[in-house]
Amino acid sequence: MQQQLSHILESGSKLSVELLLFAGLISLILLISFLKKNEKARNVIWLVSLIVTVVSFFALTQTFVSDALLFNGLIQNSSFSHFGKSLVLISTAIILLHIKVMKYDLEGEYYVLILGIAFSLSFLLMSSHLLSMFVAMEAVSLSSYMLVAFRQKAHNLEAGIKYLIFGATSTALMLYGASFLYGITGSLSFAGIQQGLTSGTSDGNMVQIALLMTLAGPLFKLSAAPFHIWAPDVYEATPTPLISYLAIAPKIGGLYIAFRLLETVPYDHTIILSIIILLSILIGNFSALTQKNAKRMMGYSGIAQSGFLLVGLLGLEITGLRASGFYMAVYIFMTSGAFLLLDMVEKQTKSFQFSDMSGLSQKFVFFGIIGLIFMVGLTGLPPTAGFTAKFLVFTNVWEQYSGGGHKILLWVLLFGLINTAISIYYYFKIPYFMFLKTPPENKSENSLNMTQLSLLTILAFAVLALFFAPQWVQNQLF
Amino acid sequence: MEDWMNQLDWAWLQWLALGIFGFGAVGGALYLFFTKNILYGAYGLLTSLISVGGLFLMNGAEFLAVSQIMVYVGGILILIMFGIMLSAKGEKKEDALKVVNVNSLVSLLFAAVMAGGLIFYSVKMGGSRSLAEPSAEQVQDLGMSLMTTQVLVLELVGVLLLIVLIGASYIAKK
Repeated sequence: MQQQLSHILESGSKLSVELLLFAGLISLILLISFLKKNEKARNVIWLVSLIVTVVSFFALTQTFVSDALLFNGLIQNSSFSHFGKSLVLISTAIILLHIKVMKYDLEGEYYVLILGIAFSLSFLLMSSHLLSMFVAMEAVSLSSYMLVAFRQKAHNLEAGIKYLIFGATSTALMLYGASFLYGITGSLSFAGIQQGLTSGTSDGNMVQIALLMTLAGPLFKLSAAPFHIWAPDVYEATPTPLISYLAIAPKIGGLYIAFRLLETVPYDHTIILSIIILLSILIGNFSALTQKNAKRMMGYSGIAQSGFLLVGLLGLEITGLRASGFYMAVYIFMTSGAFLLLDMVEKQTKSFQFSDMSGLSQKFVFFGIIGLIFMVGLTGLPPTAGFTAKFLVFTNVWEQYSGGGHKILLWVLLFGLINTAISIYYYFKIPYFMFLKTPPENKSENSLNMTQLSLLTILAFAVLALFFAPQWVQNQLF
Repeated sequence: MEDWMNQLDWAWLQWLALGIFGFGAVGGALYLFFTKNILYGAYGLLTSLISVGGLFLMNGAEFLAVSQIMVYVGGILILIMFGIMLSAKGEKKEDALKVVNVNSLVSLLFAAVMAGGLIFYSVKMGGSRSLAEPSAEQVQDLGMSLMTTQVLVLELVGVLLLIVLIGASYIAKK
């Protein structure tokens, strides 16, 4: 008993980042309750949440990484989770800045949910036990559903309910699968399951089915096929900075959990994973082709991108994993930049339709060029880091294939390359309309806000810089 | 009285109780599936949920049985009843509670495949692993492990509920 308690106390002392985030959460709640409901108070709340995020990030850089299990094997602070947590905090900071520069006057409760997602994600990124994984994942999901429904307009609530129903279904599937894994091996911790599967005489098919069902949770977070159906509606209805956050942050957790689950079950996952990747890329790309609304297009693009993110997990080699981690880091800057771009376009044209963007860059040339960088990056062409990321994940596939891998790997490789070419068509729609179409006659004389443009430039700089100096991220990787 | 009790075959009685609960669970679910009246459907669900609670009890999971009845029968079912009460309206009196089941063939087929697969694999793996004998002080053990080995999960659930409460009260505010 004494030993137990001292182990818990010792584990607790290693959670500095999470404790800081939690303290920030509590102070936000107190500020919301005791400050007046005016714009000044909301600015204070925004500032506090930004400070909490930045301080947690610096606390994270100071923490010592060890692979030791904490809290009786519930969580494990590995270098992979350390990297994931820093990505989560960076994306949180970007989104908070996005909210401010675009002059969104959000109430304090929004920041509680945003920090709540960051807090639960950092536990999700450490979980090494089905129980802690489930609770952390549910905390992320529930906060996301509420962020989608928060604006209380009819279509926000509709999107929120859709998100909730698909999320609840995939959670139920995940729990069902997890209960099978527990039934087969008699253990809930990832290490215990792995041990039970390698030593026991369990039925292979049953384990595969159970794993596939358990993967429903992380695949829903990644919005990968076949759990992608919610994406376009939710993307279209949610306010831009919030969906920008929901498009990147949960994907980090989903990717990590998908990796941990695949690693836990010691079988060959090439075929299952390849099918998921092929389906995600196919559905995402071909549905994006016909979209007229840029935000909806980003929803489908998110599905295709999560397919590319999963490519690095093929074979579960450390190089592939590093490629996926790099892709994730680049994806954060590209996606948040693309959403900021769309938000700024919307401020000018009052809509997300492609046709309304006509000729915008003829008025603001610099703005158009910066926008072009993000679209080039999302497509995966040089000289942006999007190219480096795609190059790294596909190198991994090629190495797997030439090392005697399954034939389906070649299909993934060819298919991925073809689809990269196809995606040019819809990503370049935005610059096409902005540069080449003639602007409408009744021009409104809005000028661009300089702070917005500088944040956009910084994000674009990150996308370009990581192409020329990928070691900035790669040195941080596990 | 004593003689009669001793003569009774307890194993047989256990099987009988399991059978009754199992029949209740499946029967209630089937009734819910085929009925056209949503209120009767709720009663079918009630039968099914109570029977599942009984199945838990028969398998030595007392705490699970009690929480099944508390949460599902006591909480969720009452919520469904209130939902029906507050939302039922229609032209005629009969229409108010009418429900239509779409895709019934597909879902029946899906359920049959799931059930078949489960039975197949549980029979196949039945003897491969022996389960631990349920301890006599289940609830106490559960409490102890929640406060020691699983304390992090308990705390995380606390934070989850806090965030959800704030969000839910905000959404319901206007």
